[in-house]
Amino acid sequence: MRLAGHLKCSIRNIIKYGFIWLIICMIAGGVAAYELTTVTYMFGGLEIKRIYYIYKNLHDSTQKQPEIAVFGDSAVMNGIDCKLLTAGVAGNPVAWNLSSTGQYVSESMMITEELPDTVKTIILGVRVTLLIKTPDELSQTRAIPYKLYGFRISPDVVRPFEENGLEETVRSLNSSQFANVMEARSWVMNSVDTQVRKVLRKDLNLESATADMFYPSPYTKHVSEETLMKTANKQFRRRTADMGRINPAMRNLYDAFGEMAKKRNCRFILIVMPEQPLHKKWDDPEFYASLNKAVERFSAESKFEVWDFRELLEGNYFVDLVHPDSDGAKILTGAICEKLNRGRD
Amino acid sequence: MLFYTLPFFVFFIILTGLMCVLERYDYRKIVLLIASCVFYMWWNPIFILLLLFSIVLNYLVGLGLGKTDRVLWRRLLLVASLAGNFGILAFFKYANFIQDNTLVILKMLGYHPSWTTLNIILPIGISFFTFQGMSYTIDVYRHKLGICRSFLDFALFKAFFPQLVAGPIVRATLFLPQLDRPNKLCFDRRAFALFIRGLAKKVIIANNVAYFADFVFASPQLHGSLMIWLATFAFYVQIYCDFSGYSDMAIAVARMLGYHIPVNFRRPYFALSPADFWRRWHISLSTWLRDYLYIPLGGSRKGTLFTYRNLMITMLLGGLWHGASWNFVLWGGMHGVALVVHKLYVQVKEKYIGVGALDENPVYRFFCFLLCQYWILLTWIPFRVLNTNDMLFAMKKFVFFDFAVDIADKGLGEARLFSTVLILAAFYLVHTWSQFRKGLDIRLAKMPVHAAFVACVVFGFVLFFLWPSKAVPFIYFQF
Repeated sequence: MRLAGHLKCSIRNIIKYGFIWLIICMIAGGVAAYELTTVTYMFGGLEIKRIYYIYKNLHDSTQKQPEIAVFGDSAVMNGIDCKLLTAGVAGNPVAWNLSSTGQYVSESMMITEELPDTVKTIILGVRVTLLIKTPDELSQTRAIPYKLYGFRISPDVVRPFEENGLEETVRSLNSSQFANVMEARSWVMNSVDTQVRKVLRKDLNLESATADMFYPSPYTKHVSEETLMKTANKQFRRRTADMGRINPAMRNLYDAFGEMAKKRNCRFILIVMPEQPLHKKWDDPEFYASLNKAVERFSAESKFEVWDFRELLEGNYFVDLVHPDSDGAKILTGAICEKLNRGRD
Repeated sequence: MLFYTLPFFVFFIILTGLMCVLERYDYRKIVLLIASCVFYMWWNPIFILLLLFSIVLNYLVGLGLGKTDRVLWRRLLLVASLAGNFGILAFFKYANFIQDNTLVILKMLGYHPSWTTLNIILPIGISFFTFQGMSYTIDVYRHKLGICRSFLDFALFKAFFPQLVAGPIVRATLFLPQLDRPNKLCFDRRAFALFIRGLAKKVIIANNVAYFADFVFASPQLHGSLMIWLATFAFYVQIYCDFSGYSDMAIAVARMLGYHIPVNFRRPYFALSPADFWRRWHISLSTWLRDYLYIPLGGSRKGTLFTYRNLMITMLLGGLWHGASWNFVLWGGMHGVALVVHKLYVQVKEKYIGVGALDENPVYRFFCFLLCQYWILLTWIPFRVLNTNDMLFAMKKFVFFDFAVDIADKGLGEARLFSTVLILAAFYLVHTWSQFRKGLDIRLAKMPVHAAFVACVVFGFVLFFLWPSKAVPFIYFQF
């Protein structure tokens, strides 16, 4: 009896001060935030918005669906103009530029899963770096928009990463809905940085780039010669002869992407994007000799086409160290059209 | 087990449930002691033996001191206690440091011995519970405290989990009397608000600004003065919110269990002088050092030069207490120099301008505030950047501003520059407001119930979004 009385007294003490209710209120606030996360997520960053924009367009049956899909990172966003591609290829097939900033192969593969059956050609633009270095892991943060917006992630997408030991990528692709929402909370912090960057970087055309299916081109303004050299000094590392080879894991991933395209009855073309000639000042000449051989061999041995445009553009066709300008994009797109048309002949 | 993790909440609910059920106070103490051991063992079970050794050693020395009045025996017992406590501290915390430095000296002398590195794991909270044990035996030796005959009480005093791993360093004079009377669980709004304050400091502020500080200090040589300044400021806020946040939560948890733990921080970043700073920062350590090191060395009783020497020794050892690295010694030394220079300045000022002159002048006070905080900011660089070249570079960039203000491409990826600046600004706004008005936690504790409910919903909402997914351990756990 005394024990019951004591217990009752203790519980009354806890309830009296509203302690439990305060905790319940906090939990309620947390639950409300959890429920709101998915809805508010798309307001987070510009990259997130672009993924959503791509998804929305791929599932919009009211507009003419593409026949050519172009993938890649910001170099492709800036370097391939799909309006020109549509106009330049015989028969004027609709081409969409589905690239996004820092797009990983896994991301391109996830978008490919959502492509309509109208797509007959898949073009993947890669920079030299993405041929020679070990593939980067896809972080959960990058995987979230795809998972929250409903992109399908089939075993075909996950398998190549499992086979190549990219464990973090596999984890990100297989993460639970709860884990995704928890990770998605980061949009709050990211959006602050993105918004301020928008104000500070007048040279970027980020807002309109998110909502453009043809030529997103986020980098519009040429950086000065001085900034170019300063950035090159900071970022460029000397590439030596032993680095001039195709990374085996990267190659496996491109092979898997090619297989995926083949399953969809699509022609798969891998484009090696033009490289800023300034690189040559830093690199060993032997690097280029061995890389040329490696690319040739890669092209000959692959089951898909590899088009090498590394030497296509002069330095003045780049806005910075990586991104071609609109004139550069015209030249590159023209070269792609020419090759595509030649293939049709 | 961190205070803000799910295992702790489950642990605490079970503990308070048991405390509610148990009516006899002795049983409650036993449960609390077992819970404290579980809390400590959660990190690494084997080190409970170390804690047990420390408890038994200090308890037996205390009993021994109570049984004899002979000076020689008392001294021997005190030496045994100090040797035991310093011994475990020296072995677990400083052995690698001593070994590395001995090796350097031997190499300089031309010897190249081949040693096996010991690679000793630093037990969590070791600096805190050894200092706590020593304070007990010294107080008993000095007849300032009666001996504790109950092993249960003494063990609970040493192992009481809210303060076990990162302080505050609770004195026996304050805690042991509390164990003589029945505790009363206290789930009042004040305890809740204090816990919330600590949680907000740690999770919302410290953990979020840590991203930016870590990003810059990982390779300081890639950054200019502005970034170094911002990163230093981020760390300045991070370490305060991290440590004082832990202390707030510890005090709140202890209060809920019916015990009182003294405050450890009094808004140190509003200090106007180095001495003022040490009256507000890590109060339990600074008062420990004052009572058991500075005063026994002679304090300020033996003349000016001795006072300066004592200050320097105290601060150098205080720095070394933080970690086995020359960086912490440098950190302590910088604070020691600041204390000496300030003392000298006060003496000169009092002689030529007068006692208390200018002290109420707001412009003078503001200038003192800026100067003091500038020095504190600078001292955090050796504390944070352990690589010597990086540290010297960062300090150089901090002192000699290079005006390389190019931040346009910094707000990307890991850096989180702009969100960090926003959080720092929000922190300073609330901190300044709390300095001149009542703190938010006090307001939360006193506001009408319905308003408190709304505030908690909003807090839960904000906490959800700003709780980083990457867990950041408390900085002071490593000490």
